Amino acid sequence: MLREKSRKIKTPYYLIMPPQVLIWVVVIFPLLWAIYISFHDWNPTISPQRTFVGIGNYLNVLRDARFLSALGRMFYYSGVGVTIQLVLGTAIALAIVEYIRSPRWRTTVLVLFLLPMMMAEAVAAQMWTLLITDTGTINNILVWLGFSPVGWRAKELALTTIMIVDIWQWTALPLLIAYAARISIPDGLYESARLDGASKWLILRKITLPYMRVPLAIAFLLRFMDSYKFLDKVFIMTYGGPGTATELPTFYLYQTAFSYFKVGYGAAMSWIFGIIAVIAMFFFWRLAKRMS
Amino acid sequence: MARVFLEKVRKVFDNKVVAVDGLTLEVPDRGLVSLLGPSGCGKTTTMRIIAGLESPTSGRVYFDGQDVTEVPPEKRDVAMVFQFPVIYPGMSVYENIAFPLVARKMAKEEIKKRVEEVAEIFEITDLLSKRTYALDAGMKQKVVLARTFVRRPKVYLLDEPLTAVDPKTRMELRTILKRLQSDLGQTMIYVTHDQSESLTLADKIAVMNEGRLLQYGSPEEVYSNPNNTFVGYFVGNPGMNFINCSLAIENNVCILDAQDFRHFLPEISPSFAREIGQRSLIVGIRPENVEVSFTPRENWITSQCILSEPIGSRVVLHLKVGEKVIKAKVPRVEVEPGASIWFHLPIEFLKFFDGETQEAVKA
Repeated sequence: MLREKSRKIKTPYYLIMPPQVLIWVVVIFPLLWAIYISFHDWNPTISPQRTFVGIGNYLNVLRDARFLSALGRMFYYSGVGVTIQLVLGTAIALAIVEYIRSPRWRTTVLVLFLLPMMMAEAVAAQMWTLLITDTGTINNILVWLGFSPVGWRAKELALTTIMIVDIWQWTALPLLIAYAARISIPDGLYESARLDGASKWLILRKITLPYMRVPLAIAFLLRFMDSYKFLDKVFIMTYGGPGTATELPTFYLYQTAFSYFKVGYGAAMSWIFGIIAVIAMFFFWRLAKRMS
Repeated sequence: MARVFLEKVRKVFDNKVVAVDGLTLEVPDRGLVSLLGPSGCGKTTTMRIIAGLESPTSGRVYFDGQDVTEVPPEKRDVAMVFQFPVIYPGMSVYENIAFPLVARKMAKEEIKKRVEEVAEIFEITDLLSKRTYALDAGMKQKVVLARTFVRRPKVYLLDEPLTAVDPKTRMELRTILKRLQSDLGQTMIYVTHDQSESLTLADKIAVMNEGRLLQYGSPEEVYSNPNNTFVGYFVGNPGMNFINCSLAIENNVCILDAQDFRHFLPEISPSFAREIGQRSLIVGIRPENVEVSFTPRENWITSQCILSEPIGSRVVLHLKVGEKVIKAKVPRVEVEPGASIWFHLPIEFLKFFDGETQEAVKA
């Protein structure tokens, strides 16, 4: 009887054990390990010896000009890029609802816009790398149109070029969210506003956008999170160059830990980068909550 | 202020559903006309055509003699209140009411003055600074009505504005609307399926069914002289009693023969009876016009009371004669089910309809 009871109590623990073990092994342990490592100076290619340095690594990261400028590039890339994606996506979604009445055409146009998003990041990056070489298709078209060719991967432009490619690929996500938000607005609001004599501009400002602001905030958050951890296109298109012109924190982090093998320093950097992400998310979350 | 004229308006949806079928209707300047009919009779579509939210498949719409059929809603200067309150989200009550004035780029002080004026009429002054999401349907509809009246358009279109509102607010708003309409002297079209609302509010009632206009006249006319059995049944609470019958003449006296009972009608001239008595007839009488007696009376019809339905100070008795049930609306009285009751159909309230066409037969 007693044995039966104790077995009953144990069963749920057995059932949740596999995922528990998995989470401990692949998530929690590495995190704790990373904290431990971040307090040490350690280059495994030179010696297995780890030297305890306290919070030295953290202080160095915060003083590291290369890290700070990578962070600055990240904010430019995410801030400008995601904002453009959001504005463009919303504008296209609204235009589709406003000007395309037939459901079949709407679906067709939506699918066309969604196509780039369905492409693997690496494939898109590779394709654009070929298109934007100095004698690539884009420059050929520009020359044919009478413009001078553009150095897309030059120091001043390279990050913006990656941003444009990202906009090309990812505008569809805010577009989709904005489209769903727009068609959920009751027609009665528009009919009433029209009868009230409101211009299209006033309707957009006072009805459409206020109604859509929470979904749009979520779209912004999703894209911001993606761009925060962004690595693939930099890796394939420029490998952080020329120089450090397209080096984002994720790429610098990757370089530090896995090219230079400054593992402790890399761990400290990843923790700082992570904490900045948490603060940013917290800030956006508060903002989204206040808006709703 | 405007005279609204609909000329042979027809609206077909998806090439198959005829919502409005050849409607011609004139709404006089400063008039309050009610479109009355059951759900799906085309009243809302008619309103949306007047507002410009739908364009008619054929026919024209005129405001003051000017063809506005192709004019978009925002240029027609009409205001419309929908059945369910349409509140602009994220705006305060004040901003909601001020919206049409803001759209017209009116000066801020003038907007403030007008909003406060109209808020006072609808007794929502203390709500002005509030957000709208916390308001109940009745309050929301008050805000919507205030927003409609704040801008003083040419034509007011009210599409069942009181249906979604609680009974107390409904009575209150009905009174305000009637007062506003007579004070402002504006053209107002009021859609409802509630005949009592029509009868209390409107100068003229247009009864519609299946997309067609059945009768258009004053409440008194529509109530007392229905054009056909549908109008008789739909207007009034409860609707008219209808009895299939024929007229016969015995000893030079006209008799209404309803198979289950016979009723002497000495007042009807035999010549009239001969003229119309050949065909099958339907006789109609309003329940409030049926006279009843709890003691036997000579030449009155004997019946059995099968149900009594109290309605406020009155009671509706369901009186069974043979297979027929006649409703009588009388001052409140206690009646046991199964009790014998004698009733009489006063000639002055009898309406005759053609048994085939259901149209009124004119005497």
